[in-house]
Amino acid sequence: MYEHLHLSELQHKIAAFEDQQAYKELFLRLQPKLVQFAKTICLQKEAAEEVVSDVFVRVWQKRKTLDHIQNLKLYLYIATRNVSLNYLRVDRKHQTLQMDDLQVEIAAFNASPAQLMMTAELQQQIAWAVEELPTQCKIIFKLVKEDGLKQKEVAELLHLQPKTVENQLAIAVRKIGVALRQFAPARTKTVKKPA
Amino acid sequence: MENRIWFLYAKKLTGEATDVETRELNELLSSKPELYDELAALETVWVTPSEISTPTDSDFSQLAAKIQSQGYDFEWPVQEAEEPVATAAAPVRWLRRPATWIAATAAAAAIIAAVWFSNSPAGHVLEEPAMAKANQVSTRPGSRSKVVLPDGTQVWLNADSKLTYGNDFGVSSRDVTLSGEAYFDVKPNKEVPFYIHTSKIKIKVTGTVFNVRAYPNETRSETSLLHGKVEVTLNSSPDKTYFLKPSDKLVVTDDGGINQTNAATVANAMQKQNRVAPAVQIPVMKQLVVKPDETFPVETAWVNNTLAFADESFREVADKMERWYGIEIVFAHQQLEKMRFTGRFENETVAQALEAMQLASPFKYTINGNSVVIFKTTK
Repeated sequence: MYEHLHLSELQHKIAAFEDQQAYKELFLRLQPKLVQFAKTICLQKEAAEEVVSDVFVRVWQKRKTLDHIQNLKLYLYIATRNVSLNYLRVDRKHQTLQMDDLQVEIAAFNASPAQLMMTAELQQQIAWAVEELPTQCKIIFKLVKEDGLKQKEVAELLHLQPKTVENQLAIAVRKIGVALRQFAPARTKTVKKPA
Repeated sequence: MENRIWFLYAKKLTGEATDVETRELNELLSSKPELYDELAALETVWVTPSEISTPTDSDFSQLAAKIQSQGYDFEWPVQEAEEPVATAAAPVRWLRRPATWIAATAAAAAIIAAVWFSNSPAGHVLEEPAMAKANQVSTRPGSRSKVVLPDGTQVWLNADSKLTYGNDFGVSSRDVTLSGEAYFDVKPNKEVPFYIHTSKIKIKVTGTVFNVRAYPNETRSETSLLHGKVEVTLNSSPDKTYFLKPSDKLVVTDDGGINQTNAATVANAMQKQNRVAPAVQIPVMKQLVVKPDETFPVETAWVNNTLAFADESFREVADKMERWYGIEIVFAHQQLEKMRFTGRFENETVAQALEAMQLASPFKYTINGNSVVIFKTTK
């Protein structure tokens, strides 16, 4: 039943009942994405996993006051960012993300081409378009698309202006759109107008 | 202009476009029909889930081991046990409610209300089991807890409630007795149905999620079903079975004419007439309502750490608050009991909750330790 619960409901259950099942569900739901994010900073998978498990230990340690956190998801991403930076032994005073140091990998799209009415060639085209994006643009795209963060949340997480995030995401979307363009005519009759 | 379209479309994809922006996007697009296909394809790409690995149980066991190694309280079986008996000893964790109410203005409530004081665990002592062979889990007013039964069924116990089950639970039968309110997530098992006995009703379950409210001192008894199906029989007329579908709520009310003092004589009289029922029970089927801006119906709000009531009398609200906060509420003027309230409280203290209610209907109150007196406003 927990897989259907909203994140805030899991948060309540952990805070009010020290509910280990809810805590496990939180872990199952967010750990892979947080590891991906940590890896963009730490660069190594093992280090990223270590960082994220530290973050989750801290969540359990603070379980009774978990209800005070307004946005648990963003909190976990920020904690992951901070622990990752600590891991790199970056001087606390200058603890900011250097975009150029990030290594962003975009996960493959999951559905089979047949399901999407998309050829393998087209998928490849999209993957290239994403790969070609500047780092800042790419991490913003990743956090919004894969992690489901809001643009404002991404701005807070990456210490960027909300306007910057909006513009960068628009660039990412445009480049992917252009990559799709050359394939569009063949698909004209099968695709519905967007609502 | 095309850049503006991409900008707006990006916002639309993330669900963050305002109404004005959506309208602007549609207007711009009407002059650029050649972009439709592209945008539709883009939307398909956007909603396609990305390939991200899912962690395994052993990943979580590693985390559990790390938590334990750092000295934090975390009960997790070290090996992956196959048999459900392994969870039999799952501990009951007590929810600690504030012992002292924090005085704060209502305005500040939302942000800082949640400063909780922990009681010493000794404050919550399990009552001695009535029968030597039975297990009993109970909560005091103001505290709630969760228990995992030997078959893996999860039970959240609201304040001032008691759940009893035998040592043979799960072997040939799954019978529990409930006094008070509980939320059940029953492990499916067609061979061994799960029975819940209360003073007024009996519920048969095969595997489902639902809430039962059966406080002995209340005339109403409620069964609210969220998933699956349950069958309810009234103790007063066991031949008739009520089948509940998801979102059904069965409310059984005792006949108001019979009160505690003459119940025995009435029961005697009924036995003479060969009647089983000590009281007349009137079942009514209702529907659970989830408002658009809420994620759970009022009946199960307590599981989400929320005290909720929907168009209930002050008396009913006071009953809930008494258990929730572990306090006693007395009405100096009886007519106040009839005022009706709708609301939800999460981290508010008693005083903050009462202050919020005062905004809806005028009344006064005093708090002295654990007792609250409600009285009329003087004009």
